[in-house]
Amino acid sequence: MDTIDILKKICEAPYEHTFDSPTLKVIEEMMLPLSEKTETDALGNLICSVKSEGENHIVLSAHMDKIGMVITGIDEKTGMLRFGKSGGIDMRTLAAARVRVIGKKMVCGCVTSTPPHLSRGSRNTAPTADDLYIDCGLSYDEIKSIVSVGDRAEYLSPVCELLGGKLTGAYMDNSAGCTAVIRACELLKVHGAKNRITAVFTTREEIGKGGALAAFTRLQPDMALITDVSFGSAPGIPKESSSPLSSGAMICFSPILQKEVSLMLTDVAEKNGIAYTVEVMGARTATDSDVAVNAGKGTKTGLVSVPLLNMHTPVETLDIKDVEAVAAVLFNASRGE
Amino acid sequence: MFTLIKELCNLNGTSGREDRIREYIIEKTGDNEYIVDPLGNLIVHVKGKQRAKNKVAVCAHMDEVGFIATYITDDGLIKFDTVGGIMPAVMSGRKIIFENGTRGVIGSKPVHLSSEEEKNTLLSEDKLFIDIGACDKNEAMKYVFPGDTAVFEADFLDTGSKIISKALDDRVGCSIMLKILEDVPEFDCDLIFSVQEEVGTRGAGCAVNRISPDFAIVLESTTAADVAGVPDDKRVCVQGEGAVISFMDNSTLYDKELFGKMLELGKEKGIKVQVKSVVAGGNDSGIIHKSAGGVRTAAISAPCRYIHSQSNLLEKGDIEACYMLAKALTEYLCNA
Repeated sequence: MDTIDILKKICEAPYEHTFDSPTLKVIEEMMLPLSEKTETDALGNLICSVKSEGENHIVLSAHMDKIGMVITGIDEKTGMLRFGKSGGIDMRTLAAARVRVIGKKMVCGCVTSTPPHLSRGSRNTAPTADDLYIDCGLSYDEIKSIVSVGDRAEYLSPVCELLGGKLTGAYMDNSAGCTAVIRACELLKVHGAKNRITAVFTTREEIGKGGALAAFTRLQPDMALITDVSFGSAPGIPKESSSPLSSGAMICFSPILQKEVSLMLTDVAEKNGIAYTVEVMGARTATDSDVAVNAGKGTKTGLVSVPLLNMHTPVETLDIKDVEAVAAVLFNASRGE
Repeated sequence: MFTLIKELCNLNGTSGREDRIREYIIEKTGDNEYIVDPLGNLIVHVKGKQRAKNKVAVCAHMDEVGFIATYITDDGLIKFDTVGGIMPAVMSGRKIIFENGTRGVIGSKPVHLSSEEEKNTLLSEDKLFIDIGACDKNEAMKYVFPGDTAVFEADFLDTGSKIISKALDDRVGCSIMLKILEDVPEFDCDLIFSVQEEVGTRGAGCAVNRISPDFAIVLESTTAADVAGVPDDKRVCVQGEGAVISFMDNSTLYDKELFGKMLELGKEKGIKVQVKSVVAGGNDSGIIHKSAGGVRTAAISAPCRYIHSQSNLLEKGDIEACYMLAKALTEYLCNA
C-alpha cells in the first residue's frame, strides 16, 4: 500500500475509546503482516512485536487517538445533540462543520451555527460548546434510538489533495505519526534490523497521555522514539516554533529529552541524506514523549515530528514527503548498526 | 425534484459566475423560449395549457455565496474577500474550491499557540487566507488569479427527511421553478433565474424591467433559527411547519392582499404555510417590487438552518410545501 493510502485509511477510520475502535482495527490489519505478534493492553494501546529478539529494545510509538466531541444530551424538542469537547477542538472552526456521530450506527450531520440575529456580542466572538449543538436532521424519536449520552462524534472531512503532494483533511494528527511508524516497520521488515523492535500505537494522548504512560511503564525499552505532528510555518506562527511544510522531519531538542538521542537522530538524518529541521522546545513537548520518558524506571526518548498546518481543525494540512522523511529517520535510527 | 436539487447544489457558481448553473437550467427548458440578458439573468417564457390573463413572473436566484481571490502573497497564500455575507464563525477550517477545480483551505492558527483572546476571537476575511498548497507566488499564480472565485466544498447529505448541502440557498428555488416548468403549468408564465442576489439583489430588477410582469413571486430560503435552546419567538420560522411567507422583511413591505391570499390558498389546498415571525433578512423581492414601474410581489421561502455556510439544512416536506404554494399562487394570479 502506498503511504498516502495508509494515511487516508487511518485518517478516515472512526475512532472510539474502545478495544474494537475502527482506527485500531485498521492499524492492526496493516501491522499484522509486519509483526510476530500484536496485542491490546488494558488501556487499548496496540502493541506490535515487529522483531522479538535483538541487541537493544527500541520502541517506535505514535498516538492513534483523535480529538472529537462527546455527546452529553439530546434536546427533546429538536432532536439536536448537546456535546462537550474531547481533546482540544478548535472552537473557531466548529460552527456548521460536518460531523459524524458514532452511535449504534454512524449518523452524519453538522454542527449548528448561531444566526446573526441571535449572536451575543460581536460576530467575531468564538462560540463555546454550550452555544452549539450537533444537528443530524433527525427528530428526537428518530435519534434517541441511535445515539446515547457518552457516544463520540468527530469531524467529517475526508483527505483531499492540494498542490504539490500536500494533503488536507481531518485527523492528520496523529494518523501522520501512525503512518510513519507503519512505513518504518515496512522498511525494517524488508531490510532487517539488529535490534528488538516494538511498534506501539497509543490511546488517550489528546486527553492526558495515560495510554503512553501505561504502555511505557510496562515495556521499559532501551530507547523510545515517539512520532507526532508539530507546527508547520504559517503567517502569525513564530518561526522559532515551527518548520515549513516540505522541510522534512522535525527532530526535537528539549531538556526533558536525552540530548544523545536527539543528536543520534540528526546524525542519522545527515548520514542518510534525509531532509530535517531542528525543533527546540522547553520543558514540555505536548506529546507522548512527556510521559514516556518518565514512565516506570525511565526511558531514553527521542521525538520526531511531521510539520502540520491548521492543527486540531477539519483541514489539517501536511506534505506526504515529510511523513516519508520521519519514517526514514525512524527506520535508520532503530535498526541498529 | 430532489435529484434536481442535488445536481444543482453540486454545481459551483458565486454571484457573477452563474454560468454553470444557467447552462444546466437551459438544458432543462425544453422547447420553451428563453433569453439570457446582459447581466446573465435567464428568463424562460413557459408555455402553459392556456393563455394567462395576467403576466406572472416567478423568480429564484442562481448564485451562491463564496469567496473571491484579491491578492497572492509572496508565500503563495491567497488573500480573499467574501462574495455575499458569510459569518466569520463558518469560514475557518473549511475546504473551498475555485472555478478551475483548484482546492484550498481556510486555515486557523493552532489552538496550542493561540492566546486565550485569540482562541475566543473569530477572524474576518481580511485576516484570513486561502492555502492551495503552492510553495510561492509564482506557483500559486499558475492556478489562481486575482478575481477568481471559489465556493465551499462540501458533500450533499440526505438524512431521510432532511438534506444538508452548500448552496441550497437558492438552488432550491431554481429546482422548484424547473419542476413547475416540467409539470406544464395551467397558464403561460415567466421564470426568472436571476444573478447576483447575494451581492445586493443586483440582477432581478433588470430582468423584471425587461418583461414588466403584473405580479412577481420570489422563491427563496430564509433563516430558520429553530435550533435547540432558542426561545419560540426568536426562531423566525420552524422546520416542518411548511412554506414561510412574510409580511415584511428588511427589503420589502409585502403586498398585503397577496400575503392574505397565500394564507387562504394554504388552508384551501391543505398546504402547510407559516408566517415569518421576525422582520429580518431580504431577497430579490426588495428590488423586484420597485422595478418596471412597480410590481405586486410575494415571497415564498423554505425554512433553512445554517444558511450561508457549507451546511444549509432543509426539510424535504417544507420544500414540497413551497412548491405547492408557488404553483397554486401562480395559477391563481395568472387568472385573477
